[in-house]
Amino acid sequence: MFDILRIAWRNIGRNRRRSVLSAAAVAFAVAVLCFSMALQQGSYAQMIHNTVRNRTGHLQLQHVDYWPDRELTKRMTGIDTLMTAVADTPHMVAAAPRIQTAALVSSDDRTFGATIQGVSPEAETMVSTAADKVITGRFLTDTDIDGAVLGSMLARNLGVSAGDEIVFVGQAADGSIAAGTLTVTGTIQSGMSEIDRSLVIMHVRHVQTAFSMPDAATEIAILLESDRVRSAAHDAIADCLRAVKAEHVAVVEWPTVLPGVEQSMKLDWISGLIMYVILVCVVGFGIANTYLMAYLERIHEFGVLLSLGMRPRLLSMLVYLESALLTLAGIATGLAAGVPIVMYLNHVGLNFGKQAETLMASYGLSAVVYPQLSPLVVGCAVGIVGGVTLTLALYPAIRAANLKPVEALRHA
Amino acid sequence: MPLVSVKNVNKAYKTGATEVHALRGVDLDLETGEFTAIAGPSGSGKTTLLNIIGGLDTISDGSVVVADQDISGLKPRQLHELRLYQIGFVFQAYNLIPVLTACENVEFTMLLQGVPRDERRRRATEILDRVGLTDQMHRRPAAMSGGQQQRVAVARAIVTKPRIVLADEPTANLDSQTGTNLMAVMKQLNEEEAITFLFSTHDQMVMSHARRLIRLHDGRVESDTTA
Ligand SMILES: Nc1ncnc2c1ncn2[C@@H]1O[C@H](COP(=O)(O)OP(=O)(O)O)[C@@H](O)[C@H]1O
Ligand SMILES: [Mg+2]
Repeated sequence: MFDILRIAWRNIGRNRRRSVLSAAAVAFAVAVLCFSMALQQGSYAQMIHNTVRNRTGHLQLQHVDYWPDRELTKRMTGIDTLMTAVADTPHMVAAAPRIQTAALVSSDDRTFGATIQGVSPEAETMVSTAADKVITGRFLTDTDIDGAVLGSMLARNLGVSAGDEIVFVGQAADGSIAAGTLTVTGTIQSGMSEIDRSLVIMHVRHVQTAFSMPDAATEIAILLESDRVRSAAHDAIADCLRAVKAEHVAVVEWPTVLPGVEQSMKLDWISGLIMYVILVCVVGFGIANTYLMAYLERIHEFGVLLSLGMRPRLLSMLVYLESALLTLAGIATGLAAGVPIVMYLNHVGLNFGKQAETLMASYGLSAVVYPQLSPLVVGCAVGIVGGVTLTLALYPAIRAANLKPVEALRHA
Repeated sequence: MPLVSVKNVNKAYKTGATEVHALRGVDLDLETGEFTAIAGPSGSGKTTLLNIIGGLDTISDGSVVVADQDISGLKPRQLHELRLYQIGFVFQAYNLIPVLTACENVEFTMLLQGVPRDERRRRATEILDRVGLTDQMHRRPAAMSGGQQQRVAVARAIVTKPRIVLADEPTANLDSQTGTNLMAVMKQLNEEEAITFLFSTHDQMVMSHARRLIRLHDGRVESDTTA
C-alpha cells in the first residue's frame, strides 16, 4: 500500500507543470471559497449583531405563553427577582426589562396609534443602541419617570419636539383605562419607517403604574458576549430560572423573536452553496480533464502492469490516488494561502468604500465587513472543492478498473 | 503433461463487419526447460498466440492448458493469479514503469505478490547482478539504454521464478549487437537456471539462438523444428 502511494506520488511528478496547474486550480478554488464564505459569515455576524443590538437582544425572557400573541395578560412578574437571578449568568453582558404594548398618543390637536416601549433607561442603554439613535433632544435617564422619546416621524406628525407634552391612552392589563402625561425628551430615528412612525419609548416604571402591572415586564432582553455562546447561555439561564422557581418564564432566542432575519441568512447561505457547487463544477471539469489526460497517456503502461498480474482494482486505486493526492495537495495549499489572508482581513476588515455604504445599509450592513473564518466555512470550502474534484476523478479510475490488458497493450 | 498445451486454437477478431482470423487451428506443446522461438512475419499471429498462452487474451475455439490449468475456464481473477505467479512477461518495448528505478521495477512483481521488503531487495539485487546491471540498479528507465531496459524486463520476468517466460519480440527495438547480447543472457538463464522461455521474433539472428523454432504463417503452424 505504502509503495503504491509512493508510485502515485512519483507519477504526479512526471508532468510537473500540469500537476502544479491542477493543484493550483484546486488551491485557488478552496481559497476563493474560504474567502467568500467567510465574507458571508462576517456579514451574517454583522446582521445578527445589528439585530440583537437594535432590538431583540440575543435572548429574551418572556412569559411562557407570551409568544406569539404578545398580550399584556401574559406578562412576567417579580422582575427584580428575575434580574437578580440571571445577573451572574456566564457570557451575559447586560439585561434590560421592557414592556411592549400599544396606546393612542395625542398632542394638542392630533392623535396617533403608537407602539409603547417601556424601558429601564440605563439598563436599556447597555443592551440596545436605542440611545445612539437619538437625533434631537436626549434619551431617557433613570429619573425621567414621565419622559418619552418619540420616533422622529411620530413627533413630526404630532407636531411636538423636546420639552412638549403628550398624552397617552390605552388599555391596562386589568382591562381598565391606562392614561398619563409624558414630556418629550427627544426623538430618535431608526431608519425603519414603521418604527419611526409609531415608537414611543417611556420609563418602564411609568408603564407598570399606568397599565396596572406592578413589578411586571413583557420581556427581559439579554445581551451576550457573542451569538456563539447563545445556546450555552440559554441553558445556563434556564437553570437559573429553575433555581428561583420561575416556571412561568421562558428563555427565547432572537431567531424566534425575529424569524425573518435568520431565514434570510439561511436562504442566502444555501443559495450561496449552490452557486459555489456550480462554479466549482466548472473548475472541476477542467481539472478532471487533466486527470483523464494523465490516464489516457499511460494506457499502454497500465496494460503492462495488468499483464504482470496487478489487479485491476489496485490499478484503479493507483490512478485514483494520483488524482486524490493532487487534489489534497491543492486543498492544503489553498488553505495555507487562504486562511491567513482571511484571518488578516478579519483583523483589519474589508472596506467596501463610501459608494457601497447605502446599498450595504439596506441589508443592515456597514461598509466595513469582517470576514469570519470558522470550521463551517473551512469545512464547506474543502467539502465542496474536494467533493466535486474527487468525484470527477472517479471517472479515470473506473475506466482503469475495466481496462482489458490486451487492448491496453496495443495502445501505442 | 506438458507445461503448455495448445490444442486446435482458433482466434478471430471482429472489427465491425470484417473478421480477422489471427490463429487457425494452432496445435503446440511446450515442455519445461525449452528455449523456443515463434517466428513469422508481421501479422502472422505471434503476439496473439503469446497473449493467449499468457492468459491476456481469450480464444474463440480450442483449448489451452498452462501449468495444469485450462485457461479458457479461468475467471479474470484466476488469470491474474496465473500471470502473477506462473508467467513472466517481456514485451517489445516500454516494459518498465518509468517512475521506478531498475531495482524497484524488478521488485514490482514481488511487491504485488506481497514479498517482504528486505527479501524483495535482496532478490532484485541478485537478479540484476545476474543480468549484468549491478551498476544500473538505481537508475530510472529513461537513463538506461534500450538493451539495459530489456535486461531489466527479463530480470523482472524471472525474479518471481515463473514456470514460463513469454517474450514478445524482445529484441525488435534493439540493434543487432544488443539483441544478440540479450539473447545470450536469456539463453544462459535457460541453461543455468532451467527457466523456460517462449519468445517471438521475425529476426533471423534471434531464430538462430532458439533450440526449437516454430514458424507461424497466417495463423497456422508452418513448421516446428528442434535443433
Ligand atoms: N485487437 C485486434 N483487433 C483486430 N485485429 C487484430 C487484433 N489483434 C490482432 N489482430 C490481427 O490479427 C492478426 C495477427 O496479429 P498479431 O498476433 O499481432 O501478429 P504478429 O504479432 O505476428 O505481428 C493480424 O492480422 C492483426 O491485424
Ligand atoms: Mg506482434
